[in-house]
Amino acid sequence: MATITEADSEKKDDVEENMKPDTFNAEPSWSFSFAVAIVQATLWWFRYVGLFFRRIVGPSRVSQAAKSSPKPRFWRVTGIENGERLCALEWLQKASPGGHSLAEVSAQRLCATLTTFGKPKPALNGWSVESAFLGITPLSSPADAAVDVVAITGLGGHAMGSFRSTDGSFLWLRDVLPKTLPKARILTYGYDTALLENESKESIRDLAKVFLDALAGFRYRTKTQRRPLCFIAHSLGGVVPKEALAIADLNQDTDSHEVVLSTYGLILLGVPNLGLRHPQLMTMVEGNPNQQFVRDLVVDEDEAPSPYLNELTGKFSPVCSRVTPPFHIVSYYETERSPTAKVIYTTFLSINTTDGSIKATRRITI
Amino acid sequence: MMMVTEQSAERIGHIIRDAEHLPMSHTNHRGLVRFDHADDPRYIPLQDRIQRQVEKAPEVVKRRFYHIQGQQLSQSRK
Repeated sequence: MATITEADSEKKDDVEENMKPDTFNAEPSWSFSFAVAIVQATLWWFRYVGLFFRRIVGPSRVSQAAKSSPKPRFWRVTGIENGERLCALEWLQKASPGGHSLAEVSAQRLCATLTTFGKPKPALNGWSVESAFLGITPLSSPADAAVDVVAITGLGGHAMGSFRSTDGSFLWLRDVLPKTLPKARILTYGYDTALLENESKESIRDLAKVFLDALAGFRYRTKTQRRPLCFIAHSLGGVVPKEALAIADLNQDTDSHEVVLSTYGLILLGVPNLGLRHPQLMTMVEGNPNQQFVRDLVVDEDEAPSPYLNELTGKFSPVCSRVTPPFHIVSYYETERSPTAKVIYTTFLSINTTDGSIKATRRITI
Repeated sequence: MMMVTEQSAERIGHIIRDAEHLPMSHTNHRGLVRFDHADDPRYIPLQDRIQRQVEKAPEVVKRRFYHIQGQQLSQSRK
């Protein structure tokens, strides 16, 4: 898994910037320039009137500015040898004083995360930097850890970005939780569910299988197969461990079966057990290979859950009560409406450094 | 629009006993996991919940494995 991620990141994440395509008229005529001048004058006038009004309103100006300011990005550094721990800590302190992490991925290797505006230059040659965060990323790994806490992001989410603060600098999973829970290993799981230009035909069941395999593998590698587990899941990220536990329950493979027996509880935040209400989503992915994926997740016109979700709800209860005592479940639900009419598109420009090709990818966040 | 309704968030399985369902005040769907600082009044109760699970888990899971090993042992004796 780790090697695929590294190879991927080399291609994808070398330079990623917001792209704003502008079109220019090559040889504007005189009348055209005149029209442009008038439009510009009008715009300036509106701008000053706007400034005047904003001065009266006051505070909204501040929030506007905060919203539009660029956000720092999260980076994952892999390939750090155990012996390079001190060097890595020193480098992280300097590169990302606001927040970083260094945790074990195996007996020999460490993985670091940091938050910076530009792509950080690794201190040593063997380290590689990427920002996709696919698979499991440990955010802490105390030597005397007694529990694994696994965070799972939602649809179109990011293993780090989905949990960050408004200004992008603070990440509770990394910057507070490890200090509060010194005896827990905090892990975050990332998977690719970019909804546009997605050629993937992966189903939710496939996502769950990959997740289960990654988790069981990680615990086997770090010799912690029987360590108690707690899941923290947001949105679709809650459907994934539910399905994974159902699969593992039927599985004869010991490593994944131990995942079920080790699970103590699930904290589910806005998990669409009976489907997600998002009419625009269905039209957006119409005809795409991932159409079925969205159909499985979104409620239909009559607000009824998909056959897939119905089946999962049915088969999860017996899994839950198979263990004694049953899983401890806490669910949170939202109390404010979401602006679903507004879909956030982000266009990334990525330059492949090996062959110099440029690729634009559109992502949506819901 | 409420992206995930209260009913949808609560219906984890057909018969799930002892599950607790809580609203998060002033929070929309994506806001459920986004907090601005460690003292965010929405974050503190969530952190307490996680902490409680983390503290209770070792004893419960240990007993579970112990119980299963006991079962396997008695089966092999038969």
